[in-house]
This record gives sequence, C-alpha cells and structure tokens, in this order.
Amino acid sequence: MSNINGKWQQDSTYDAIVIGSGISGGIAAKELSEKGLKTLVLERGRMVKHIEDYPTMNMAPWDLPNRGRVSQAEIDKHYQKQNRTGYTVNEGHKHWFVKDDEHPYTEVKRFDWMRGYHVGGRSIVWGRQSYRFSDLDFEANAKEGIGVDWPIRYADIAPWYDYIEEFIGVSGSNEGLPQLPDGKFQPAMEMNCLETDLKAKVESKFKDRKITMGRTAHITQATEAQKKLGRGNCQFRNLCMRGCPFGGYYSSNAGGLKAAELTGNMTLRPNSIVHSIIYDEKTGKAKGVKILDAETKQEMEFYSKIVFVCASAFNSTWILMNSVSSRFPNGMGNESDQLGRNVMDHHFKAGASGKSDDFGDRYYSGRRANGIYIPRFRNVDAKTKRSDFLRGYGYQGGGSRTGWQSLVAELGFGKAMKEEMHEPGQWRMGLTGFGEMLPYEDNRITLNKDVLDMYGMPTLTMDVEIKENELAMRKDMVASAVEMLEAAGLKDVKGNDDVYGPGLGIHEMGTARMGKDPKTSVLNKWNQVHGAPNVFVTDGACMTSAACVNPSLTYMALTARAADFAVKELNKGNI
Amino acid sequence: MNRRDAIKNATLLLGGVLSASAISGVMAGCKAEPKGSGWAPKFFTAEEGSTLEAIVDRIIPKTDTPGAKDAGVHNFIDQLMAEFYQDKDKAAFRDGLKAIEAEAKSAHGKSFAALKPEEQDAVLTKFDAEAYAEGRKPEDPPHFFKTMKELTVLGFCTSEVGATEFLKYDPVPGAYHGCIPYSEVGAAWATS
Repeated sequence: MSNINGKWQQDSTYDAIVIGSGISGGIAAKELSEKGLKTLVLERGRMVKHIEDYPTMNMAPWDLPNRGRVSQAEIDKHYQKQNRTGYTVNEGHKHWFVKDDEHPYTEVKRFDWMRGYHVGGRSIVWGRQSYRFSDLDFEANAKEGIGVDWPIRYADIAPWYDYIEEFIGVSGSNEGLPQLPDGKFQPAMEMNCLETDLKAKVESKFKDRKITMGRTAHITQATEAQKKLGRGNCQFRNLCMRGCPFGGYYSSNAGGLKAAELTGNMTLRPNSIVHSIIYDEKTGKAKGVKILDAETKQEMEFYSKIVFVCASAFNSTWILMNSVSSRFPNGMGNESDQLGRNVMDHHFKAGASGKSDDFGDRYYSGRRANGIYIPRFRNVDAKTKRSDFLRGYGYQGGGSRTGWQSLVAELGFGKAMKEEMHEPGQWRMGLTGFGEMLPYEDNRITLNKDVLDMYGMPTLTMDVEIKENELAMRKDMVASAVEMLEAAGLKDVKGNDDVYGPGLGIHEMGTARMGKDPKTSVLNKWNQVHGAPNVFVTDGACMTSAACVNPSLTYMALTARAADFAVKELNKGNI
Repeated sequence: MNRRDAIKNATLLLGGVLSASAISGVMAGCKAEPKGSGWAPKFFTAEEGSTLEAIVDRIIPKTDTPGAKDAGVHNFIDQLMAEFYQDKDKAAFRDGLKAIEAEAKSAHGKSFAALKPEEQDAVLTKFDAEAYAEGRKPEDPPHFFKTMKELTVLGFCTSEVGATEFLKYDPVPGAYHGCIPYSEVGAAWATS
C-alpha cells in the first residue's frame, strides 16, 4: 500500500504547477517549461486544440443555420448574463462562453462576468488590443494618494514588454508618446480614407492629440520563431472569435501552450477544477494543489515546488479565498483583508459617431479586425490637468461604409431597394472611450457559501459600481469625441453614453493587488503571495491600478518576469 | 475555386490538420441551399410556404442577378420559424401571411402566389406603408411586414447566392487596403 502511495506521490509531483491556460497561464507554461521545469498546467474546462477544435473557423455566413443568431429561448435558459455584451452569444462562437445556469454568481449590483472555461480560456476571443502601461500609470496611485503604490516602475517591466511583443506579434506604429510607450512592433495595419482624413484634421487642430493605428496582437510580418510554431500572417477575415486557422492573432493555444508543448516538459490536464492551494505550515510554503476532476468527480492532489495562479482575476482570487489554513484563516495571502477588494474594469460605451459625405468613390478591401486609437490626452502633464476627474481615457474607433444591414429601416421594396442594397452606403466614423476606473476598497467580490455551483463549490458575489470620478470622466469622453468629429467636418455627429455595467469591458482586475507592504496588499513586487513565497499570481488579479489601456499585454509581461524570477529563486534555493 | 478546394488550400498553407468533423461541418453548408418551388416547409403549411416564397420573390426580385427566391430565402425564414422564434413571434408572422392572403383574395380574387407581379406589388405596398406609418411607437411590437423585409434582406445577403452573385464576398482576403477606388470592388461587401 505504502509503495503504491509512494508511486502516486511521485507521479503527481512536478517542478511547477500552472493554474489556468489562458492569456497568462499560457505564458507561464511556456516560460517555466522552456526553463526546464516539469510543468503541470491545470485547466478547469475542456480540451481545445489549436485549429483542430475550432468548429466554426472556416464557416461562411450561410453555413450557420440561423446566420449567427441564437434563439431567445436558448439565451433565457443558458446565457442571461453572458448575453449582456450583445456580441458574445453568437452561433459562430457561443461555445467559447460558459452557460450561466451551470456557473452562477450573485450580483449585489449588476456585474457582467464574461468568461469561457476551456483550454486557452478567453485568449481565443480576446480583443487583442495591446498597449503598454507607462510611468504615468505606475506613479499615479502614489502621487494622488489612491489605493497603494505600485511596487514596480516602467523600467522594471519594459524589457518584458519587449520580450512578449516579439513572441506574440504585435502590429502597430511607434509614436514617441510618454504616456503610451513605443514597442517592438510588426508593420501597422492600414488606415482607411476617412480615418486618414480624421487623423490629419484632428492632429492639426488639437496639438495635444494623436491618432495612431490600433496596436493589435496580429502578425503582419511573421518572424521565424512564429513560423516555427505554425503561425502566419493575419488574413483579414475578421472571424477571430471563432479561432484562427492561420494563427494570425495570438492565442494561448496557438502561442504559449504550443511553445510549452514543444519543450516536452509540459503536461496539460483539462477538466481539472482547482479547489485550493495546499499550504505546508512547516515549510511556510505551498506544497501543491487540490483539484476536483470534472469528469470522474474525484478529488486529487498534485505537488510542486512552485505554483503559478493564472486562473483569471476572479477565479484566481476565488482559489486564494478557498485556500484556508491555520496560517491563512481568511484565505491565502489575505492578512491585509485586501483579497477580493479593489475590483477594476475599464468603463466604456461613451463616445460619439457621425457620417461623412466624402469619399463616395472610395472603398476598401479586406476585413481589418482592428481600428484607430487615440491615446490618452487628459491629465498627462500640467497643461492637460483636469479639475473634474483624475486619470484619463483613450479612444478606440474606426471608419467604414454602411452596408445592407442599415437598409431595412426604410420604406420600399423590390427592384429599387435591391439596387440600393448593391451599393455601399455612406462613410461613418465612431469613437468610444475606454476610461480608467480607480481602485475602491468597497468594490469587492466575496466567497458565497450559500450558492454552490454544479460541483458543490462556493461561488462569488459581486458588489461593484463606478463612482463620481468615472461618471465625470464619461461626460468628457462624450464631449471630446463630439468635439473632434465635428472639428474633422463629420456630419450629424451624435454623442452617446450607453449603459455600462462593470465587467462589460471584460478587463476585471485588481482583487489580489501587488504592493510594497503585506499589511495593505496581497502580492509583492515579484507577484509572490505575501507569506507563501512559492505561490505567484500573475493574471489580472495582481493589478494595483488599471490605467486606461487594454491590460492583457501587461499580464503577459508580468507573468514572464515573475517566471524568470521564480526559476532563479528556485535555483538559489530561496523558495 | 470551390469550397472544398478553398478549405484544402487553407489547410495546406498552414501545414495544419483539419478534423474530419470540421470538414464535414463546413461541407454540409454546400448543400444547404435548396432552390425553386416544390419545397417542403418545416414550419409553415404548404399554402403558407407558397405565399412566403412569392412574397420574398417580390421583396428582392430576380433581375440581371438572382433574387431572394433563387437564394432560398423562404427556406431560411422557415428554418428560423421552426428553430429560432418564440411562439408569439411565430403567431404574429403567421397572422401576417394570413392578412396578405386575405388582401390578395379580397382585392384580386386570387391567392397571393397566383397573382401577377404588379398585383402582388400593389398588395405588398399597402402593408409596407402600414409598417412604416407615422404614429407607430418604438415600443410597439415590430410590424409583420418590417420583420418580413428584415428577414428577407438578412437571408439574402448572408446566403451563398446573395453574397457571391449579387454582393461581393471574399472568404480569405489576405490583406487590407484602406482606400481604393470603388470601381475595383464594384459592389458592397457582403461581410464586414
């Protein structure tokens, strides 16, 4: 018996365990296994193999029986919350999102938690916009007395941004802006006629503003390393959310997990729902994790020298909350009571749109899954200081010609309507702001032991709202968008401030923040859990502030940086 | 290039592997385009089916390019009714077809499908005017004929015939060119 147990212990022991296989977990898997560690990657959902398991990737519109639509009956039954974005529950890609009836959560206030449980996680469906944080972001909390100070500065992460951009492939252009650092970019995508025109007019009329092409994790000039992984240039199909047969955009499946697999050091275990991290009171470190096998319903344990927690911000936080021991009665690393607090997202859906009477004889070809970007221009220096709100926002947007989708609002049918349908409509331009949300201690998630999921595990309760600073910023997000579009000569410019529910940005973060002091933070400057130095949390949970830029690039850079540190510490015998 | 070749080429380019199920799923799409009359509706009765077929044929008629009937739009609407819409929407749509049939009979003494194209257009013009009449509030349920037009346009522009023989469709563009003369394209793109 003891022999069998001994063998089991041996077979279930690895150098490293990575929890989660999404945008952060994929990078952790790659870095740790490339550094020679036998690495176990635990994914709670099903297996998804790159290309092989993208069932809709090559389907034409007519291959989808309902042409993309999902019936109200199905939405009511399975997707009441996942449908709140308006685009996630689609015939072409709904299989990348959870069924809400299987994975409930409780809302004190509305919170839109969009997620998918499968290998690759949300890296298959992410927005792919990739921007660096700057020192304006890393210093803001300390300067303004908000939350706690970031324990790192731009110089600490800059080389890791370089490293990640080169690995994943980011197309974009360098602009030399202090608030939006340059990077290692592949050639930028093209702007269309209306966007080029807007850029020229806005930049000449507003000296503090710049319009650049969106920086996006699409390959436009594949490197040898990317080709070796089987990835190639973006083919401009704009079917990204279905999974890309060309590996044109970065996903964990096409990138990090693939690289990890090639080392021969990674074991990927789907259907493995992590219950908790096992803390060893004697050594003061984690010794492994406890999981529930989703298929066999068996509880199992796996052991390792280090654990990377990359389960997505809220699920990583859930795991820490559920990892109680006499050392950590309120959840691992939670002496500060900050675990679960400071939920942030990016608030958006405020901006403007207008139409243009120009360029009627011009069009475009290809479907560019990207748009233009207007970097933050508020509160970047003394001249741009605002009295009505802190921090700032950037705009994402784009121009295009309307098509048949806009025709049915009109009277008429028959030959005349058909002729009109044949031609593209007029050019339109839209801008939507993505604003920074401050960390507030009372914006929090908590463990809910009264509502259990289908596996009998506790769930989460969300209590999050945007407050005065965000609401004031939204007014300016609308006003500045209107001002720029009007200055560029667009017609019928209309501002919009649509309903935004926290979470809708799908950038939830901050619930296990990094900091300098264990009394006020959960993680240190290397993403180590205070009091459990061989546990690293490197996904969105670690964020001390949100900045106004899309965060995934920063999660990946922090993950690679932490993995490098972890292996060095391991080799020195420090953890 | 037919679809099978397109998929094969894409797969070869990648040096990748497509699973048998993925290919059969995509290939199934090639057959899902029944055309012409004599069709067997899943949801509608045979009579309703022929009325529907005649209506979509007038909303987007065949010209020098195929029309909605050629694209099997009536099959698409039948599919949506059978598998997508909820009972109250189905009932409203059915009532609409009945109203058109009743109008055809009272104004012209024949079933809608048996009318001449000009007579059919006269009947539909009445419903179109009603659907877009002033005084309809945004919160009112959509008028049957507006739904009919929406579904016809959607069904046509997303069908293989509509997208490739009427509009422009390129499954794998390969590049984005942001500002080219419209004449190089010559029609609106089917997908954005």
